[in-house]
Amino acid sequence: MSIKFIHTADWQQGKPFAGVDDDQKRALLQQERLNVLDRIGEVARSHKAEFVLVAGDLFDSPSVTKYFVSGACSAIGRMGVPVLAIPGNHDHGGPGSVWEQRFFQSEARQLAPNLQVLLKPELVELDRAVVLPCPLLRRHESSDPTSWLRACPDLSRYGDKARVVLAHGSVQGFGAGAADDEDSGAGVPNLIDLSRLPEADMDYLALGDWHGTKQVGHKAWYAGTPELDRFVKGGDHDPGNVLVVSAERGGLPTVQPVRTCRFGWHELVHSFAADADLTQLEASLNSLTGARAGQDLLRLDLRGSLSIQASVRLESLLETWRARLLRLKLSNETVIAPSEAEIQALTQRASDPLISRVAARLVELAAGNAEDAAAAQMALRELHAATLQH
Amino acid sequence: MRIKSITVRNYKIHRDVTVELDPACTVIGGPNECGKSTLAEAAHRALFLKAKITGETQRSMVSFVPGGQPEVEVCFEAGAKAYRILKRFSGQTGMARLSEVGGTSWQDETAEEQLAKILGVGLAGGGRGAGDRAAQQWAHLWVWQGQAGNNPAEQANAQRDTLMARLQSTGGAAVMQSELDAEVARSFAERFESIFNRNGSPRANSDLGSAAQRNQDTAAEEVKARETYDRLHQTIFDYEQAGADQATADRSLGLLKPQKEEVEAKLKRVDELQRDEKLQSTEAETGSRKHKDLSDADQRIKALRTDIQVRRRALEPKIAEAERIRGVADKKKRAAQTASANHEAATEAARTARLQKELAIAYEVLFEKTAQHKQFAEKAERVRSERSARSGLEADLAKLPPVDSAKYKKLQKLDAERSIAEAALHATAARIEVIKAAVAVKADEAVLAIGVDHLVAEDTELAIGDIARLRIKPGGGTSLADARETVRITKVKLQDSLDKLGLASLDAAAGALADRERIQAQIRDSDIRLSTLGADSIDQEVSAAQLALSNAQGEVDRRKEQVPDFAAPADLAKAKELASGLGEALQEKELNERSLKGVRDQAVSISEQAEEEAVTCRTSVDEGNREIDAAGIELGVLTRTHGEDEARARELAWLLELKTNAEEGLRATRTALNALQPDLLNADRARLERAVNQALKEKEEATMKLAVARDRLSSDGTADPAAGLATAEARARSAREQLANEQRRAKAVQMIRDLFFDEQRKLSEQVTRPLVERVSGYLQCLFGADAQAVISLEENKFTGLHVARPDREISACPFDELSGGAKEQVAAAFRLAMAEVLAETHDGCLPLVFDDAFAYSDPERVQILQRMLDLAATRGLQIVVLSCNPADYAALGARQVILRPQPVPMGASSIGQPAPNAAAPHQTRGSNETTLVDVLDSRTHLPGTESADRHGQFLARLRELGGKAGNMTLRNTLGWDEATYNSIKDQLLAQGRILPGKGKGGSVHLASAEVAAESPPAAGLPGSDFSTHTAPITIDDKRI
Repeated sequence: MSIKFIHTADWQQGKPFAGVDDDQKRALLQQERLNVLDRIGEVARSHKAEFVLVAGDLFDSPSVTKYFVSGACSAIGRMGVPVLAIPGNHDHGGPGSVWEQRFFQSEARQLAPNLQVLLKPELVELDRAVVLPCPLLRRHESSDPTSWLRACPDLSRYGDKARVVLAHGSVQGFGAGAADDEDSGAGVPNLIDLSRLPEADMDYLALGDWHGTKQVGHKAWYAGTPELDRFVKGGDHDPGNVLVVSAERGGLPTVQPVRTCRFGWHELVHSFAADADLTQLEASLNSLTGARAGQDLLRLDLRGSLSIQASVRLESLLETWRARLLRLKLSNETVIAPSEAEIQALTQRASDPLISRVAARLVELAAGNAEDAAAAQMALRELHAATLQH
Repeated sequence: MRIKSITVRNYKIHRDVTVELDPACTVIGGPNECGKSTLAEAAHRALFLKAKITGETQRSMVSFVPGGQPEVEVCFEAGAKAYRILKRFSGQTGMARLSEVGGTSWQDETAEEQLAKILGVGLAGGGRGAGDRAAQQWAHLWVWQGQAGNNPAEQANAQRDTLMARLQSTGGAAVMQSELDAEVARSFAERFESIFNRNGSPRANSDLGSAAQRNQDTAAEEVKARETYDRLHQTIFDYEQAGADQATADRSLGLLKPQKEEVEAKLKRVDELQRDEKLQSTEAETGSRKHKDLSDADQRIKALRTDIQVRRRALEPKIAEAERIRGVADKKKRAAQTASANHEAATEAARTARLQKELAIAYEVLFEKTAQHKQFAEKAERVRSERSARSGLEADLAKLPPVDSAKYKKLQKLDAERSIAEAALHATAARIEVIKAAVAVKADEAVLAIGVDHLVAEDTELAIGDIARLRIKPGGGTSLADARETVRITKVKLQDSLDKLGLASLDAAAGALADRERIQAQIRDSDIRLSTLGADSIDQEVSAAQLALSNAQGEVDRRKEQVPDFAAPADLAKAKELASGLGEALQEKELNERSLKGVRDQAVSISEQAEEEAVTCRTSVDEGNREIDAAGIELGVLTRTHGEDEARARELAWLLELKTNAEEGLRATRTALNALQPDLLNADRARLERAVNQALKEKEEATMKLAVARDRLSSDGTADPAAGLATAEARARSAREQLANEQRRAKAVQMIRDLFFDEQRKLSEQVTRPLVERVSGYLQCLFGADAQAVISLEENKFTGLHVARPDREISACPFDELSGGAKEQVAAAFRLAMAEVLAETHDGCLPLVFDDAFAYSDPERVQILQRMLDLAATRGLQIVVLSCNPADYAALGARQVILRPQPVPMGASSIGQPAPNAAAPHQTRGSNETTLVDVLDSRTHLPGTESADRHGQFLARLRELGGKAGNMTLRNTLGWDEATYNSIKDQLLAQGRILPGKGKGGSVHLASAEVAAESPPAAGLPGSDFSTHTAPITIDDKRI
């Protein structure tokens, strides 16, 4: 008996996006995490999924604010199919958790009657499947949350219902970890040892925590986050999907990732060898986002050196991109290296002996490696600007 | 440019005077108010003031003496050409003519323009303030009176452009900052100031300040957010911990409960056993005690029975013996009674005999005492009569004169002496014997008895009646008188002694003495008799005898009663006899009594012994009987209490069984108790109770904590501490980055500003170096080889002048802090240096006019500064010094021109009348002799109100002092400093209003005109009574 369902995880509702200075942009980023739930609902409907499994971290925090509780409950309600969720490390169960809050319980009752939060490691029988939840009841479980499944309970009485494990944590070599400043809450991963689970008795392991879509066993998958919430690192990382899973008792599951994310999270490293490289950067940026505004985030690492004029142009360019992007996370290590012409223009001003002398000394200071060098470079740019202004 | 001569006509004090200037150095001297400054002013105006000047400036130049418009003519050299500028300052009609010697001439405006061009100045222009503007021209070269100490940097700034241009050209290609330089430098300085406060801290309203503030705020927020977040987690931790604690407590309680129950059960059993034990113990004790009691009683009964039997048998022989002893004792008693009766009879007999004997003796004594008493009574009678006789004798003796043999002997001796004296008298004296006389013959009125020798021992008148009177004068000289005196004395003595004794004569004394001795002998005999009789003790003896008699009588009477039938003896002998016979009878009876007493004592002793024995024997028997009785009583009691033998035996057996059973039960109970270890059980219970309580308490605490934590954890959902912390952290990070950016930017601005400052300083040093070197050169003339000038130039402006004098350890003293004198000197040095620099565009020469420019300098310094002036002159400058003390500049080696007011005869001149000597200028050049150059037909003039006031004060005070005063006195009363005093004094001397006096220290006195004046002129205004003191001016021009 095959069954189709949606495997998703790490919604991280209420994520603060603290690194985004602009309040409006931050609100957009937070709102998009709610919006993606409707897209998940759409996927469920279009794929005729019978239920949705959320493998932890539905909320970003165990003390998430009311707006996100209401928003999430409302969106879940709209999905129209049963939604089963376990608490993850971000929204772990236990004392003080969101799940215990009266407001959540009330909103869930009113807005999301289809939501079932599985707070106990106890089998849940559905019409055509059994779910084996491994909830995290505290932020850092010292023991493997799946350990209760090692000596597999007798499931024979559930016949050919597909057996789906729902868990949140890291498997060997994979886990959310402290990816960047957006995930300051992450810490020691809750380790899941897949090898100790009786694989034959399980038909699918729906995992959460790792934000990329990733298969980690014959039957084990990380769904990843449906909408990106951080800059990803390196390859082998495919966030922004939900999984449409077909599973059956005793067979291998069929898993189909479906893209759900809307915002682009980009990374670009650019090194300036010459002023002309600035144009190249401009082109790269354009190719990343096209004509879009307010939908992309960019981590930009700039290196190398630019002339004074080019650095001024870079500044203005960055200003533009700061406006267009939801976030420009800039690491600018560009060195201002005045061009020969600039140096000459500053230091060999026959009519302005004082400026020439000062500029010459700044050039000297800027060439060094001392702390003063950076200031001297900036000073050169300031002086350059001043000579143009006056 | 070099001025050759100055000619002034109709200009204030000057009518027409020409002064030739030395190309190098000229000193123009003359007393105050002789027109030195006026001359300098006129020359300056000729060069810089428009001829058509009007208004006050023009009016001020007009001559005091009507007669023409003010005219000034200055001849000078410039650009290797000689020029003459002539200006007539007549208002709108003013005229200027510049002519190049041997060349072109320019008139009026053209002349003004050409002149300005030659002098290198801008046209001063006309209109309001033209005069003041003109006065500013060449102010760096023209040191007006009273401005010598001004900071020369201002003058330098006024000439800045030219000066800078010169300095740049002379300073080794020194470059000047451009306007852009200055502007950019300023803009960065301003930016720096907009960022930083004076103390270097960021300004609050600057970007850096806001960034710092934001950084601080966000850091604080981060801390707060973290606290909130940590608190949440702490609460979660507390909740979990409390839950764990609760579970632990529950587990403990689960373990403790059965343990406690077991202990409780055991303790209950112990309780029961202990109760049993107590019961059984009592039972065993009672049984044992009862058995023992009964057993004891049984034994006792048996023992008593035996005892009674034994005792009875033992007592029987004792009873028989007691009866026998009793019989013996009674018999002995009776024998003793008989012996006693015998003894008593014998005793009575002896007593009677003794009484009789005693009575007989008493009689004997009575008789003796009676006899003794009689004897003593007789003796007493004899004594009485003897004493009576003696008393008679003593009475006789008392009647006799108290003559004893010694007194008598003394009388005899006195008598003998008298006799001897009379014999001596008789032998010496004459003797008259009336043998027969019809008439009475008197010797010294004493009638001489007839036939009696009448001794004449002295001159004696012998009257024989009235018939004859004779004087008999015995011979023998004085011895007669002595003899007669001796007779008289011895007679007196004898008579006195006799009188004392109451005797008539020596014979009577002898008789009395004999009577006395006889009676005294009789008294002595009587005394002997009395002594023999024992007169002294006789009374006592009589009394004692009486007493003894009475006693003896009493004794007899008493005893007589005891012996009624006693025949009293008649006398002592009979009494003695009776007593003796009764004594013998007594002895016999006493012997009998003693013998019977022995018999009796023996019998009594035996009787008592037997009695004692009998009593002892009886007592022993009684004792035995009592013991037997007691045993019998006890036996009775015991038997009644414990029953008869059979019943008792049954009871005993039963009790024994009871006791044995009880003891066995007790042993069993105790064994069970020991097995349970009740002490340990109690400890166990206490321990377990403690543990349970502890666990309960922990559970309670945990439950409470759990509730508190749960309450805290029930969020209201308005804030997410995790999101809050993440936001706060990100903000803090962003603020830090922004702050770092701003700091970098601020640092860049500061760096640029500092570099500009530094470079500006270097530039200014470079630019000012030629000037600094020149100023220093001049200063070294004044202050020694080490002196250095420091000139600050900021943004091409001279901003400061400092003097460094390492010899005095002055690193850099600002100009404004120098003393008045030093200011003048340093300013002069600066002006000279500046002129030197500027002169290069003026053919290497510029004139410098010092009008009274060293007023504060002491004479010594004035001498020294001449080196400086001379150095300037040798470097091509034209030095003109105006001084009222030209002699001070004698060492300058300058041309000296003296302007001197010419004395005018009293009342000789008045306004409008030329002085007699007024003549055309007469000039002499190159001479070392003083020559009268010019005499001005002009009156001296007081330039200002102040000076005039002082003149007035001076004169008034001098007048008050009687028109004549020493300089010191006058100056002190005026309270002026020396310079002022001397100046005013010189002026008045020059005006001839006072005259110098003689004497050391100097004095002044009023000129006769001033003496006459009632009040001094108020302000020296033209037209006042000055007219009387006008003085023409002469000019001495000499080359020293």
